Amino acid sequence: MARVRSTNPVGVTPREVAPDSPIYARWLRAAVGDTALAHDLITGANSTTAIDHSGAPLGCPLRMPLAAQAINRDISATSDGDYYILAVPVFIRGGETDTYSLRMSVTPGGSDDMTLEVRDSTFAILSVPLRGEVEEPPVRGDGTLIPINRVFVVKWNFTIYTAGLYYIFVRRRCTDTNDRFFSWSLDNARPSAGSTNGLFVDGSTLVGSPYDAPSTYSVANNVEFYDEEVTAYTTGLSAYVTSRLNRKLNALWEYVTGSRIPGNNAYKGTSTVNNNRSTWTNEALLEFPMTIAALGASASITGAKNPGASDLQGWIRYPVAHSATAASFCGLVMFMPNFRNLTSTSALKCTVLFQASTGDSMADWRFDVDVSGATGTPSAEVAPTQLGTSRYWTATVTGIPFTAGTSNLVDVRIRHFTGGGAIKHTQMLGVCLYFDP
Amino acid sequence: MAITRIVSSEPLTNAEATSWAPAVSRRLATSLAGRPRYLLELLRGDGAGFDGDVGTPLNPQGQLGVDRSGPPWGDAHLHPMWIYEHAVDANIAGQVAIASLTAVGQVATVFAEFFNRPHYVAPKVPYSRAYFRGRVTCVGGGSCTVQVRVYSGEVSRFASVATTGTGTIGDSVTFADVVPGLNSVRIEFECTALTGSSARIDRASLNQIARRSH
Repeated sequence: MARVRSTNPVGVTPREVAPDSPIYARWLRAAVGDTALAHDLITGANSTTAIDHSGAPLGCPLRMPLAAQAINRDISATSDGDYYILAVPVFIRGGETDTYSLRMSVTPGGSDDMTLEVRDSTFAILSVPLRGEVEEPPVRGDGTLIPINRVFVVKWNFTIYTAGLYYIFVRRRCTDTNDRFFSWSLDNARPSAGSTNGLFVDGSTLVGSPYDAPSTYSVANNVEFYDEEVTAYTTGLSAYVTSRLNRKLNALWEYVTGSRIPGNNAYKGTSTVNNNRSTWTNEALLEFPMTIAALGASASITGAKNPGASDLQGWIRYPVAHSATAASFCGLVMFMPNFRNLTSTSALKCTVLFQASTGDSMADWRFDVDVSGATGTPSAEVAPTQLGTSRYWTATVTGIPFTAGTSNLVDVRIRHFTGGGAIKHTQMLGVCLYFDP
Repeated sequence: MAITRIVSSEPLTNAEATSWAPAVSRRLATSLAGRPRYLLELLRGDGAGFDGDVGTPLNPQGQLGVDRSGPPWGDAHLHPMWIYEHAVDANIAGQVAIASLTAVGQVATVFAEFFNRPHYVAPKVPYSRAYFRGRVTCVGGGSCTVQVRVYSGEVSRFASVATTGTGTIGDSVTFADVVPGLNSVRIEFECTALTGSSARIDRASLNQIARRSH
């Protein structure tokens, strides 16, 4: 018996299913084949490239917000200089090369002359540095501006053309005191919302459950159809076939849309798409951004003092010793998705961006990520690499164990490989957490 | 252009698909032949390769296909929507907690500003709520109790944690009602009991925590 499955969507013309038209085996075969194709696309079964939401035909992009963080730090500077007050890694999903919107909330003086630079792993700048656009202050009824004593929002829209890791730097050139950096966010500059007609959702109450589906949708209980069931009939249409096909479509509907069958007051099945659960190993592992945390500004490192001078003292983070014991420099609490979380196969990664004194090597530092309650052991350590020949360095920790579907405490840590020795100064700038299978 | 291949979102009732049921083409064929196309369009995020118009509506972000923003556009994933980062280590300088409350009755406030994904707006859908999670440390020995209040306009939902060391705060009722697009949520912390030197609010986040509904 050969399993019926369309190589590409076949469909049925409206004429073939019009009222009083003869019922042909060919449309039933097409329906069965297309249903099997839908099943294979979502599960990755039968050597099918699974839907991974990287854009049609592999699914609608997710367009997740990338970052939203409260900072509330002093960014005053008493001497002019190249100060990156925001410097973070950014992970762009496959298929989501798009225009992104960066917003920073600062005090009025803090908004002076801010410029965005998007750089790659060689520290090459990807586009002309963009000067921030300052949101206009509110206007009185008579047309005059309301005196400024409020938060300013500086905005940029920029486009990324290739998926992967990038580094965002926002440079501020001014001499000001009593300036603050309140918060920032990075989001896909998406179009406006569309309609929602034609589908049903939880929350409404309907009476009766006349539409059956298999109790769960899984490989184990998935109903299949074979050649013999969809050939020309001599004894009429088989209810065995139509009822099973209907149930399979109902289950697949719940699985794909996450909502119950229209007309039912509850799910007939129980499954949701987990993307990575162990029993459906072919289901697509998703690239998925979790969050980005800015840790501090990048100021010049001079002499024995770290950082140099007294600028940006409220927004600088750095190790104070060459300790061989791992020290947490970034602490987060957050919910994790229901993704595969085994230590060796976790797709969770963390990229760290930091800077060194010009000319110093950071090769003796190591980074790891410790997620409390996951397995009791942190991820494997990694050594950093330099961004081109710049003073900026990066390290990407992979295979980070975590607990799926619940709140996790995440600590990103640094230690000196050997401990001791002459201090080499470094400033921690930002981390990006993301799933990248 | 017209629809060249039948597309449908209508299921068949059990009665319509049983033995000896009349094979009504309009129902039987439309549902069984039309729903696979509907599902293929939702999965692929395009017209599924068919000529002519697409048969499925646009999703909340104005695109075709399920975008995992909650039912009916696929079950949602869990993730943070907003964070306040903080870690404590003697070998790291420059870390600042959200607040250190040194007296009973002292209140600290933080505003969480973030974008929420476009989603189908209905009661209890996943992206309609942002759940708070945080960590509190009682500094200088002794014990402390901290209450967190998460505001949706003038409505606040609160939770408390009493701890002698480090404790997590936030529960199944500590959430803000949020909308698609830009949101600003006020979060207050109040020290309600203290025998140590201070109650420090360490890290915090607002999260999307549901797959299908709250």
